[in-house]
Amino acid sequence: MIIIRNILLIIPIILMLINIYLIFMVAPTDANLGHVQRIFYLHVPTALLSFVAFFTVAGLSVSYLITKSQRVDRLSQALAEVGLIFVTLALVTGSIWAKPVWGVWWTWEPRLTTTLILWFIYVAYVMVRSYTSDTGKAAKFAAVLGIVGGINVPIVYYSVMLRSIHPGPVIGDETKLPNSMLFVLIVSLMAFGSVLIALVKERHFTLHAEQSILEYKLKSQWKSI
Amino acid sequence: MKIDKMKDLANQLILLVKKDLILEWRTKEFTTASLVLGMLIVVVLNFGIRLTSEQWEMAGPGVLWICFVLSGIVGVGRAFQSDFDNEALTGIDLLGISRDILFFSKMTTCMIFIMMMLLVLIVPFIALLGFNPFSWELLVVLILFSLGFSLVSTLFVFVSNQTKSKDVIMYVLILPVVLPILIASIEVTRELVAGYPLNVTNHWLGILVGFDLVYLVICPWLFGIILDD
Repeated sequence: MIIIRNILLIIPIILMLINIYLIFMVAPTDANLGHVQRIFYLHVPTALLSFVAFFTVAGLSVSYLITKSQRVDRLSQALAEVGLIFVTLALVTGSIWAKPVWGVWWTWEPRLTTTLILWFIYVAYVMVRSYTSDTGKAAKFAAVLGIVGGINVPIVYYSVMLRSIHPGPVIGDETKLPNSMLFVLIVSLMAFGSVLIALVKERHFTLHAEQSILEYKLKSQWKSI
Repeated sequence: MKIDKMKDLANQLILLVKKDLILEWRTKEFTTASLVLGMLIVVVLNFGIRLTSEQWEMAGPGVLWICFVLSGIVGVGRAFQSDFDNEALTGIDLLGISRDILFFSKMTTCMIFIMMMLLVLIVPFIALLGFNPFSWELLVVLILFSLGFSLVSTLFVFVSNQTKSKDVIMYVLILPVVLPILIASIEVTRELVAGYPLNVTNHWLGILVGFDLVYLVICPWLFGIILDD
């Protein structure tokens, strides 16, 4: 168990070091945007993985409402919290990219707006959990928000189809991304993906420990009565 | 047999809506909270922003809808308070009324209140700020917004009521979820105020209808789950 945990912590560190090297040393400089384009290797993976995390949270929320499994609830909470960190990073890196390219830190175009709405929904998710004293109810309310947030994810993705100045999808059949850039992007996705898995695993572990301590305390109180 | 059951369900729905309307007539919880706050927002806005009639055309729809949403949330929170205080929901539950009927009755009451509030609050905008957004086409937007807003707020008022700091949580929960329909309503109103006719191909109207349909499916389902215990 401890060995698996340590491996899960070492892999992202190694992958991230390789990723940083590739971003700054190997990836070609964009002819139009210059060095600022390198933010793309941080922005795209964090945004994409946060959406994957939120989709999974929605699925796990449905599963929790059916099975009432505490393990599913813990996993859902861990994924939502880490997803929130990732979407925050995506919004921040997006803003840093937008300033030199669009001339503004923020613009109210559909994809940015809907991502911000998603961010608020998951902030509410975290708040509801901490503001509800009954853990069973907290899990249920959070599951409700997880489903609402998950339904928002495809709308965020397809909002680019509306009047948007946001760059189109870069991965897919119509990609115009050169192979050298695509390679760095894939490595970056793997690096951030491993970070996400490691963080979720760690958070799940601490949540499980918190729950065990709480149960132990309750049992001790019952025994003393 | 099926028709009888449908009639029975419709009667239950009407009875519950009637109960809420009578309760509101006696206590005036929603009316007082939402209209007084709405009027106050209009008065404060008058001191806060001074716009020419051309500028109102651009900024007016946003100001109008922000006023609607803030007053609406406060009103909805107050409207259901007596139900929570008097454990009325447990009583209704013991009568064997289905959760869906309970949800749709609360939602219908909420929608009636919101529609009334929206129509009344337009008056101070015209009288005090000189901004007249009213048109028959705006009524369609008001109905669509009220539907989405009522669905979401009915669900989340019940969630927030069971948390600590429920007044804060209510805003944190309702605002992000109603934001898509709020943005769509503002954009459609802006087009109407600018003199464009309401077009069924308008994508903002599509977003408004789409979100209403999504919320119409998921909100009653999630409401049933919340009340499960």
